Amino acid sequence: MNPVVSAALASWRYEPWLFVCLATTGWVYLRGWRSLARDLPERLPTWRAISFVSGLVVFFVAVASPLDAFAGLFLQVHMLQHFLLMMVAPPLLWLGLPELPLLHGLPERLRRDGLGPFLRWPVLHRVRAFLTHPVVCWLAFVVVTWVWHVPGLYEKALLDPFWHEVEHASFFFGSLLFWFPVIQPWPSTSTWSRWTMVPYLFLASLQATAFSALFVFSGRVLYPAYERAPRLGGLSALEDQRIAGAVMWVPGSFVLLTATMILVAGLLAPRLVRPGAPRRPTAAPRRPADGDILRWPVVGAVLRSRSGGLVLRSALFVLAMVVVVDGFFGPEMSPMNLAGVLPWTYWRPFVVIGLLVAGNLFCMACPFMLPRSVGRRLVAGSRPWPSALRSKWLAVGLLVTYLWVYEVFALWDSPWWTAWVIVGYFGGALVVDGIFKGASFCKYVCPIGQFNFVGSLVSPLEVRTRSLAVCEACSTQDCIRGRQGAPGCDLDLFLPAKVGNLDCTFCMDCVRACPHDNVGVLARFPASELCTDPPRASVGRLGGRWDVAALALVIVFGAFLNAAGMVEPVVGELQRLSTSLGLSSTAPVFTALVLLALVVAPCVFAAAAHWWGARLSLPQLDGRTLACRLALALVPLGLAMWADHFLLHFVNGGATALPVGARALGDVGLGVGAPDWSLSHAMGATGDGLMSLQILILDLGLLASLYLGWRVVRPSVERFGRATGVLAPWATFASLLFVIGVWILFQPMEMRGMLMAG
Amino acid sequence: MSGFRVFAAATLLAVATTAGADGGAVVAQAESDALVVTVFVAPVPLRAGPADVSVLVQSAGDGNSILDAEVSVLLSREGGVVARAYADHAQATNQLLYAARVEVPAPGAWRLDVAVERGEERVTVGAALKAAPGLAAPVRFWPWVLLPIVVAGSFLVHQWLSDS
Repeated sequence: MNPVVSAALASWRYEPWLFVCLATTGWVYLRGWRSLARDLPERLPTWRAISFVSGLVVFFVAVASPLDAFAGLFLQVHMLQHFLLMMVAPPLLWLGLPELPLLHGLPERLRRDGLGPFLRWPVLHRVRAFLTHPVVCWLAFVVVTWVWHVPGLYEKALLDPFWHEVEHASFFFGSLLFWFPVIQPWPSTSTWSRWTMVPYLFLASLQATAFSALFVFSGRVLYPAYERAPRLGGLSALEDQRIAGAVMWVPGSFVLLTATMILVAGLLAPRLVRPGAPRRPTAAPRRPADGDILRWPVVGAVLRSRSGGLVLRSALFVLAMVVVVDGFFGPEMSPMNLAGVLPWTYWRPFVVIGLLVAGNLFCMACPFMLPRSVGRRLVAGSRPWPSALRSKWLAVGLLVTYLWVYEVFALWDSPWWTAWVIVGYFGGALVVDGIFKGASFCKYVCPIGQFNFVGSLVSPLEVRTRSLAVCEACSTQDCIRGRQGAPGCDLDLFLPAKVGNLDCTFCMDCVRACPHDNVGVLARFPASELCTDPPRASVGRLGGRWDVAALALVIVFGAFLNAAGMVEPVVGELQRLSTSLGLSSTAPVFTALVLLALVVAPCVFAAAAHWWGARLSLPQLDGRTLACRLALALVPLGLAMWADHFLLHFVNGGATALPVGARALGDVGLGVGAPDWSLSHAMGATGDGLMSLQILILDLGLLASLYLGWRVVRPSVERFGRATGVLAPWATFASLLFVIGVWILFQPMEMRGMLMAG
Repeated sequence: MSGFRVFAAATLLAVATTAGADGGAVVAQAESDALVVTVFVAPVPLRAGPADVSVLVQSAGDGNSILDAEVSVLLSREGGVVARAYADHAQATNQLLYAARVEVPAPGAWRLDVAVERGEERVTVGAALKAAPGLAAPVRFWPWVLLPIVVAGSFLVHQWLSDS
């Protein structure tokens, strides 16, 4: 093929958004069509499905194919694009009778509980009746056709992608309206006689003819942009315009005429629709999908086996040792040292991503478990953890201390200190679990573990029993006591009473200890455990736990503090403040900020929510319960902020490990070539795509938090209006955090852990 | 559940990726014995921030597109060169064009120079550009920022309808 033609044909727009939307629509339609066609084969024959899918394909071709790429160079191509959007895709879609298949293709709960109230809403019925009135439909089509071809507006759309999309959307939706009364897709009905569609189409054809004639017979170029554009293929702009007119005139008239003929033929020879067609037997209801990860091949086997966990922990232990050695003996410059790169640029995003897409994966593979096991064998700690410390308060204090140290001593910039933190961690685990029995370090001390416990409240996976009936018939309680060398749960989570992920390390000990193979890693709706507050094994009700609420608040506010600590306006302001106070370092001001954000703000939040709850006197929702549960409802928003922050580091410094790894290997005589330090430069990836993704993550976090807040309040408040009033102050606060988060994302950020280019 | 996750993953992927862009307004055109070069710049009007420069190279004889030229783009102002980039087909949607993305650091007057080389033939075309101030981030990303209001509002209407 001629290379120019070949290149032209390869000029497709890369539009994943569009593809995802169309593919999802097609999938939902086909799912619904398949289920309905069984009962209504005469209403929904196969050609209907083919028609609908063809409509989607034509739409995709119109907006993503080379037609779009050449629309700015040739008016005729642009008109062909509009022809597909207005005269081909809409009738094909309506011929697929999409209303019921699209509804039936949705999950039943979404259809019934989600869309049901809207579909029954009289206002929506009135809007629909107005929009599908034939006069409105006809006018919509004609108005969008003429208005968008006014030269000023047309040129605006040609040069500005946003307005081009708006133009296409109005053509498409205007045409959907136009074709609706013509096809009158079942189950819709019209009070107008079908014969009225003959003049309807005829008048549309007349105006289309007049419109096309304007292009064909005009003696001047209507759109100056085409006059300025380079001419390809030897056509002048005026010749191009005449062909464009012909494109609209001939195929457009053909479609309208064909539609008129089919309509008239159908009216003259009506077929009887047989609504009572015999029903085919419906298929047996499907078993719910098995969402148990432990039943998956390979992955399930690895997770269940004791050696699988050991291998994961050993691998991370070796990696941690390498980081420690490099931290102590490697280069002092953080971006050149494994201790400056692996924990801060890689490990943190992987932990958060793991929490969001699966569960507490880091604790499952925690390297600190190995020395803990060694400690137990050597010392065999048998003392119970002090009852005064059986809460999260110690961990809250350690977490605040860690975040303070991170900011004030710039941990991320000191491989040496990073190595010491890791060593301290190993030492702490060894000592605590060498003295005390159970997994006291994990449950009461480890700040990383607490972060993961709280984060995993919104995870989509949960370790729980497959069948409570099996547990009721079981008398061994091996899941907590252990069995034949397999330890039970060291965190005292008795599986039949275990709810959610708090305090669960995903260690799989209970899986191996259960004699009935009744424990799985099961899928659930993310964050669903925060919608209610049942008593939980070894945890109790979250509504009564100030310590857990404090932990959640520190993690939420810590997310915003940690991200704000690296944006230029905040850092600059803190430096200015330090200077004006005559301080030689910013440490005192940073300390004050940490205290304000992680101590004062959570206290104020808790006190205000408690006061509000006490004042309202809601049943089953006293001040403490309301404050604790609303604090936990903020977790999705906080986790979203952590995810955004780490995502930026990862996207910018994702290649940093390569030169640092090469350098480390070279240091021990395993040279793999000179490190390419250019890979360690901050890429400054602040493109629109990344920013959009970050804001979307924050959007989802806010929406999940607001939903959880609603679920906390709604059961205790009878009327809708009062429930919104009760939640309003908290929702305003969550929205304020969201606005702060968006503001932080918009600021220039320090590219920590990377060499700066230039 | 799995369908939801696939959809969510695909959505995130879709948001995370950016499409190649080209087109915009013609800002310069030059012709030599063998080549005709047309330069497009987007957005229209040009603003401080990322800008797309697209170049169409045609044969002066028959007007056919030429696909094997080397195209470089230079953005400068009185203080000196601020951005230099090679334009190629990989960055363009329309595969007949050569495209490059350059960052216009600030509003004001700029000069854009495009050099096209093909064998012995070399054409240079320059254009004076005037960049308006860049759009503030909240304006650029307003659909994403306002999304929660739309969803939360719909949810409240839904709850109100369910209640009544």
